Amino acid sequence: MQGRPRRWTRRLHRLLGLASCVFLLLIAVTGLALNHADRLGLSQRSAAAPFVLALYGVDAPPVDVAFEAGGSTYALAGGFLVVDDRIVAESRELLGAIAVGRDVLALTDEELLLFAPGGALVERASLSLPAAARRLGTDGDVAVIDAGALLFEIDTAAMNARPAAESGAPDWSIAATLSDGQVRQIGTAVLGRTYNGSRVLNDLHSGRLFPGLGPLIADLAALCLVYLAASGLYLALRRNR
Amino acid sequence: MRQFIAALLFVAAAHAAGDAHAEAGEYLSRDAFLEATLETADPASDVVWLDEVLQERATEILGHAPGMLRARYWYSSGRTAWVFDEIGKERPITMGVVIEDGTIRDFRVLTFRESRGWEIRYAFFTRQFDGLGLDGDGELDATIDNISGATLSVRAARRVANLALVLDDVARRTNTKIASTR
Repeated sequence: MQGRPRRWTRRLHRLLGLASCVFLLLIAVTGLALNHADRLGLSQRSAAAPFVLALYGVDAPPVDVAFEAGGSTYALAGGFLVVDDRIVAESRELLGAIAVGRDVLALTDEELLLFAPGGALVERASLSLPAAARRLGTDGDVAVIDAGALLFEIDTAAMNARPAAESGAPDWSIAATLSDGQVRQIGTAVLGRTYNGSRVLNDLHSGRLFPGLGPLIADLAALCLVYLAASGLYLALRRNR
Repeated sequence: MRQFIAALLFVAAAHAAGDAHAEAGEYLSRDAFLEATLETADPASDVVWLDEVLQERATEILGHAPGMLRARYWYSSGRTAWVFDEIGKERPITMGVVIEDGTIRDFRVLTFRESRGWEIRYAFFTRQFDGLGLDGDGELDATIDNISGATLSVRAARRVANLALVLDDVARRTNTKIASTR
């Protein structure tokens, strides 16, 4: 009579052990990776693959404004300044981007950014102007900032601005209209920052990557592990008795 | 009674969340940092171009490409001051480092944007950098104590301090004006 509960416990232990081994492996591997996320640089790696984004059910953020200069696209989307398909800086507002010689200057509400041909960031500098900058342009070979009643000349070597002595009629940078492909490319770059390796692995570990059933399956797997631990202990103790 | 306890818990949670949020932000502007540490409102500035060798060294220190082709520094009274953005976990932390005679004279956190790890702004942490230089391998010549819950921010601070020391060494070799401002 005493053998029957033990037999059932053993059978259920074996069955649940087999059923939960996939989840156990998943939890163990993702847990290991998360424990070393910093060393693996998971936060810096984009995991914004189309199927991952489909699982989250998210759409790419719209492009707020974009400028084309020096053969590259400078766009503001989702709070980031994106050059072609690379996030360069966090930004709330992009006021313009213009070619100055072979380089490109971009102006946000907080910073002036200098880019080399091809869009590589040379330097970024915060500007403290007496009035809020409104737009960026060129006056001949000189880059200028319109700050309402005041006009400033930019020195790209020193990365600062000084009041312009005299001005002709600057050419102000004009927002560009992007193709669907460009908008998609920029959106994927922005989503890659939010949906990085660390976030996606974390959500896979907890089951939140699969909305609805995911957390439930993770809970069931956890309960299975609790049962396996308890039944394993029980069976070991019974055997030793 | 139950509703009262629920309301109390809600208020406590909201208060705690508010406090945590209030710790992030700009503590010191770049200009204020330069004026306070270089003792002049208008310090001279120059740049160090990150050539291939320096790009490699910076990548080794930071664990990622530096993301810029030149690094600006300001100098006065024989000191150089550097301001860098470095990501701790997800968002950039703006940090300033002042160097004199090859050792760190001052380390400050100017802006903290992450939701955790802001404790690195406090003097009990930043003063650990005072007097640190580079060892024979070009790394910090002393260890920096970790702060529980702020590990990634602490590591970001270490990386920035190390990079600033390496670049200061290059700047002093190429710009003789730094020493003459003493």
